[in-house]
Amino acid sequence: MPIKINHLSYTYMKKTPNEVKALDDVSLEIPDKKITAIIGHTGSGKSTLIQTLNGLLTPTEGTVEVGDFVITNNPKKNKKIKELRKHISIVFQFPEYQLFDETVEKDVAFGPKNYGFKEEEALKKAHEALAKVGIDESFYKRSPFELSGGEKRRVAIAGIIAIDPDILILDEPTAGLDPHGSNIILNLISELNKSGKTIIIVTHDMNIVMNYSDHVIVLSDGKLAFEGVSSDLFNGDVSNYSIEIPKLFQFCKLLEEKGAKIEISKIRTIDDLFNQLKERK
Amino acid sequence: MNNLTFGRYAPFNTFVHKLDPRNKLLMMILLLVSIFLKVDSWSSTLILTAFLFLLLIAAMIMSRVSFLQLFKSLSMMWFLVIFLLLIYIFIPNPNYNPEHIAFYIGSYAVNYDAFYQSGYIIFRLIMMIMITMILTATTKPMDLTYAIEWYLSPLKIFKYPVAHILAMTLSIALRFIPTLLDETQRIMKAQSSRGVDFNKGGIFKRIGGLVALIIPLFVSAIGRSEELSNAMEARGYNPYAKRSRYRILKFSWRDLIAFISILAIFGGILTLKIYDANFIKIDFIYWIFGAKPLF
Amino acid sequence: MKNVVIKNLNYSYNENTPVLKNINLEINQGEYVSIVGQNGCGKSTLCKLIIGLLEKDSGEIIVNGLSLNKDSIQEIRKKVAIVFQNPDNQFIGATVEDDIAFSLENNNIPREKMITLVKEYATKVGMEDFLTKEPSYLSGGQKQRVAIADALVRNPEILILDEATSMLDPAGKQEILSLVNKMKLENPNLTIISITHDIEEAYLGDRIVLLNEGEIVLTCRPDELFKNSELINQYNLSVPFIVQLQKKCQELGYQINDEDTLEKIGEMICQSK
Repeated sequence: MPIKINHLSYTYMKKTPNEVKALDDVSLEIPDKKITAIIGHTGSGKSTLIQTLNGLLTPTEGTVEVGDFVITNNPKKNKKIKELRKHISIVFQFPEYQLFDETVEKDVAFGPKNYGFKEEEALKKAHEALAKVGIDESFYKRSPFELSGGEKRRVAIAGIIAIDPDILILDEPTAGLDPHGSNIILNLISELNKSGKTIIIVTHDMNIVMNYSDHVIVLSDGKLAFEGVSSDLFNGDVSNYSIEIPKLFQFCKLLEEKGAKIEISKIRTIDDLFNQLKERK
Repeated sequence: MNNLTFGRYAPFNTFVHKLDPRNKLLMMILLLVSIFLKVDSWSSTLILTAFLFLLLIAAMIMSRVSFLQLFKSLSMMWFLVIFLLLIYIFIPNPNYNPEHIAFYIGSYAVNYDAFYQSGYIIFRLIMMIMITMILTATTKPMDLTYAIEWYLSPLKIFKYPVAHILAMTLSIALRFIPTLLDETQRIMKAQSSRGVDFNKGGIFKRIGGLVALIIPLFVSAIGRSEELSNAMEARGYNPYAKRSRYRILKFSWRDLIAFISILAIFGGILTLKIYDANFIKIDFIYWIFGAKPLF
Repeated sequence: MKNVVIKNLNYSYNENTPVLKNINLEINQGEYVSIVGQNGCGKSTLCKLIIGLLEKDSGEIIVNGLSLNKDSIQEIRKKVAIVFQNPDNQFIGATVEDDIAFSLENNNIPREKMITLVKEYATKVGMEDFLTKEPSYLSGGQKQRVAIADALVRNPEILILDEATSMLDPAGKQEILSLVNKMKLENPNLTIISITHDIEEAYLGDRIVLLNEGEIVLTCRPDELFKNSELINQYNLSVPFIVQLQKKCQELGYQINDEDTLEKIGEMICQSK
């Protein structure tokens, strides 16, 4: 399901003294079955953008097309929103705050049940999703509130995966986790993408952008500032977007300046770099 | 959720905004009492009410309170209007007067009085809402707390900082209302992404959705309160110790003008009430409906 | 002078789950100590014990020569300020100025002095233009700057940062780190205890204390930990890029030293062709 955004604007608290234009005439496309990173400083409109994608916010102007679904600025016309949300789901920042049920498996099964699956089918879907995020059977009957931070996060993500959406949006999925916890989540995202899901990830971490993304969108003050691949972004002028260029990219540039023949646009990890160096020797 | 903006502080800088919150609270009470004072004759009451209504409209314009918000909050009152009407229609009228019959429902006679009574109550409620809106839109919640604390300060004689603890509790509650509203929205959105529809579905589905909202909200609120109390304690907060004050309230010439005006209005109405003055005896109702009300 | 002395400290939530086991630690005046370790290793608990928000099971905590107990707790809290992780949950006042004043009100500072102090510290953290703003109009980084003003306005001897940057975006994090750096330059006697799992942030300290499962496994200079990539891997710390690079180079047989800069390693790689 490709996503197409046309002249999208969104204004909070319209016609009040506190009016804020969060998105201003944004047009862009998000490629199918790829990992797209959305970056921008706090207040750039990232959160607003992802919420318009599954109809949590109704555009002030413009349209959002997700496959055959079209979201317009007329809420009465947006009838199939619930159907849409089955295909495109958001994992919000600190998703552990959405846990509520008595046991882990029941909590994860909550989503599928809302979409009409019977108790048993929903539990089956829950178990599959929990397996994907690496939560084993011994956790099924435990209360989600007694888990550690990283485990809660994974259970919450499983709660969305269990709905089996085609497009998965993750807002700062690694925020507040230690490196070990972050890696588990990032590997999971990579796996999900390989299994055919479109991933949209909102992040501040440029290492994630470099290591994982196929496509990058930069928002600045509600406007589209950049759309393309990460190496083009890091090559250009990023001084206005509070972007910290990854050390690996800086190092690659340094090598290039010193005459190493490498193709930076194809480098995502240190291993990629050294493989290229080896091939060219 | 946007309805919740009702009564939010609007950061303008008008005459009313600059008034001392203690004064505003007192004036609000005087006006509320004025509204509920009923002078003997209907026509006089009507004229007084109309006068107060115009005064409130002027005050709303002066303090730049949004009329749109007023209409929005009134639009939620239609249920109350019907409810009151039904009560007044079907409760037997002690002042039953065959001259007052407006129409019959079957064989049941409906009096004009039902309409006057419910209409008058609704009108007073609208004015109450207007007064509260003017107060909350022009006064920062925190200033209101200070005012309440000031009025409660005589409680100091109990040697227990009642006024302070109450005011602190209230101010923290107020401080966290926007935070908790944001949180509510966030959880609603998160659960919507899991297929909860908070606006549709049968009662059981709705209750299920509500549980998915309320439990996370409680869990997070409890977590917050713990962190908050830690932060307060770590910063040396002790309600029993002597504390100095950063905020002080000032009663200025503006307050004097406003207070004297309101007091004059209140005094005038009270005098009319006490002397049962029927300063005008034109019977509007008789003109309009051709019937003479009894009260 | 020893600012904080911790002797044989033990703490557990209940009998079966010890959180801190026999902690011994001494921190000098003016020292900047980073406490690192993965989530749940007990680092935040340690802070809460130091300011008496939790009660120890056994052992002793001495702050500025005062042993922590029920009588000394208020005295100690005047000396120790803490900035917590969540910017929202430590913003107590209705506006920036009220929040900074809250700490002063607690210490019964006269109003005239409060007014000058609030302005002074708001300016120090660069929030002087936001005095009348409410927290919902501030970014996370701005709220944390206010929290730092709250902490410093009481003129503490020890400042504890309990993952103060972990909920901020990179810009906010940078704001806070450079602010702390500036404060440290202005007042070299200020002792800083920073709790973090961001290893690059920990590098700013004079000393790193590595906690794992409630025990101190290592105390060393930051660069010593950086060199020890085995330890970094063992305790799931984020590996700084240069360490990753050095490790990779060593695996591939490049002759590199621990002191080599990126520049030097780059040259070596290019020349080796």
